[in-house]
Amino acid sequence: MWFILSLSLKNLFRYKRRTFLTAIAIAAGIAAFIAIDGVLLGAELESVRNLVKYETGSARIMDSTYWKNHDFLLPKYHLNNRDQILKAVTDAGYAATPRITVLAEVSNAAGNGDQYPCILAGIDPGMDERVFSLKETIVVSPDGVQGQYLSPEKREILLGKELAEKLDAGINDAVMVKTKTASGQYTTLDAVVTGLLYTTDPIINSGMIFMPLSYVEDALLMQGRATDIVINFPEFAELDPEITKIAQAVSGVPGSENTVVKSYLEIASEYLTISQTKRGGTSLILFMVFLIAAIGVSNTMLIAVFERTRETGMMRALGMRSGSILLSLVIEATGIGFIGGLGGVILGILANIYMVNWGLDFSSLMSEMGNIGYRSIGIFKSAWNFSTIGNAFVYGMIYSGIMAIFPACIALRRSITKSLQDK
Amino acid sequence: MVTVKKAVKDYTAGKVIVHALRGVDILINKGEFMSIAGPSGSGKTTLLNLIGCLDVCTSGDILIENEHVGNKNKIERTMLRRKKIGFVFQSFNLIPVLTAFENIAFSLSLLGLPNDEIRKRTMKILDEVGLGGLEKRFPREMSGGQQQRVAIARALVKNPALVLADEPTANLDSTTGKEILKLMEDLNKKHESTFIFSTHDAMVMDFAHRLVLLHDGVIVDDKKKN
Repeated sequence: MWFILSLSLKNLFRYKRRTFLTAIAIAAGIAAFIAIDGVLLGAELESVRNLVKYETGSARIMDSTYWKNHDFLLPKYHLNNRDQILKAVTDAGYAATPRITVLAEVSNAAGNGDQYPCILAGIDPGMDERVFSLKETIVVSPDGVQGQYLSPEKREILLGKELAEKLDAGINDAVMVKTKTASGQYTTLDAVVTGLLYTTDPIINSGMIFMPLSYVEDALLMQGRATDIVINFPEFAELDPEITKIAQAVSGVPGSENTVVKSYLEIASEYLTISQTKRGGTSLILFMVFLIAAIGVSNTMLIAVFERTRETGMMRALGMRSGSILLSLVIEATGIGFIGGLGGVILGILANIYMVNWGLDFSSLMSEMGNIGYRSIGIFKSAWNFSTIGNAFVYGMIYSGIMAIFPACIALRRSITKSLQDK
Repeated sequence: MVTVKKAVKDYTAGKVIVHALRGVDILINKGEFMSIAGPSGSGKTTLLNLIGCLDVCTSGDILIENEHVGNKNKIERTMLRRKKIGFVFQSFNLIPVLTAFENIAFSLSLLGLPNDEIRKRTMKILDEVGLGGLEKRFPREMSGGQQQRVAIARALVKNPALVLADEPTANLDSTTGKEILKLMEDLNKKHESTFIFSTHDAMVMDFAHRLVLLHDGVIVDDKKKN
């Protein structure tokens, strides 16, 4: 075995340039795999962070029918005992806020009447800050006016910056919001734009509007009620125990039998599934890139094996078993994979160090492309995925080794006498 | 030592059947230093390949130390070659990435001997073939004659019953060729291994103690020298 290992290592450096070039191809494939997987994971984690920070909160308490029909956000299925639930959750130690979240259409009161579908959230300006981070995302409008956060009791509205551009609405402009009341009738809410939001979540920027809860509950005939109680808990808290704890707190509230507690994973499950599928799909493409590098190994080994036909014939003549020769070639190819893998891991880690710390600014590209599905815009930062790095290295070697089997088998299928006669 | 009984070997070259050996009978005794000679295509290499268990007869039988080679499967033939047969090739066939020492030790490592034993025997045979001190040289750093000496050492280091050499001097100049033949003759006496080599070179034939002449796959002459 020692001889086989020694022979393989010596053969590995027999044609240094060829080995080096093949290893470079593998290194490039693995480095690309590590770097792009890091970017995709980073975008996914950043998206989840933004999702929780601006859209869903960590968890929500809802009426079970509202949840079942959550695509339609029907206000008729709401929480009647809003304040009791809110108190129970707050007493259990959570930051929570009530919201009325419904589908709506918004238009510029002074504009051409074009209506844009959006999600209207009625928020309690004071309490909402405990859960969401909207206030910090209010920006200066294009005409230089600094926006303000909502005031309770006033007929004000916060618009996503991109939605405001579509509506051609600025600070202090009046907009109209059309939606349905809890009893199913259409109603229109008019409000003055008090601030424009520009968050790292493109959905907020282009598809959501925020109005004071008191105004929305009056307009939708939902006084003292809400569609959701949104809860916030620390980012790295384990979901299941927290959800159980919240559910226990809510279960003590009279009339809460039909409520459900859902984590952001369930609320945004469709988005997360798509995001993970997207990552899986991209990984598949990257895997194909890596496979091409592996085929390079196969080609290198094919050349090596044919160049050494007489040599392998001699070794077989002297009594070396075909299996041992095959093993020697597999070790040699695995060695190429090792060199390439090591180079790829080093390059991938270097690229990742840059991408994790500084990232790449895609903001201009993203504004051109629009929403590409990630809840993230601007600078894309990577995340460390050590299992991918380890797997890329190990599989790089394994695939390289496997790639030697086919050419070796072709060579070993020849008879010894023909191998010895090879020119 | 080696008995060849009515050995027939046919090849197919496309649609044509080539009768390489047409019923060869030969008895080779232990310790013989013999040459199989004949013109190109006479069947010398084919006979050597059959005796060396590199190929199997179409019909007939071959016995090496009373073992029927024809009954053996691929693995058994491999094991037989590993233990009992040494090969010397026309173009040396050394492994270029290994030193002289390692090329010779390769033969012993297949036998699974301990490293100390491998080292001892390899250094001894290197001295015997006149390459003492050159054990660290790679094939590219040696002359053709030196490379063939390494190949001979590789064949003999395991003390095989049989050493087969296919035109061992064909790639060497006549002076070096004579030196190699003399070395083989000396080692034949010393190790008492049976040496069989194929050739069509008259000088090589002169060295042989027994000369078997093949023509069109048939033995036409078999003479021993005193």
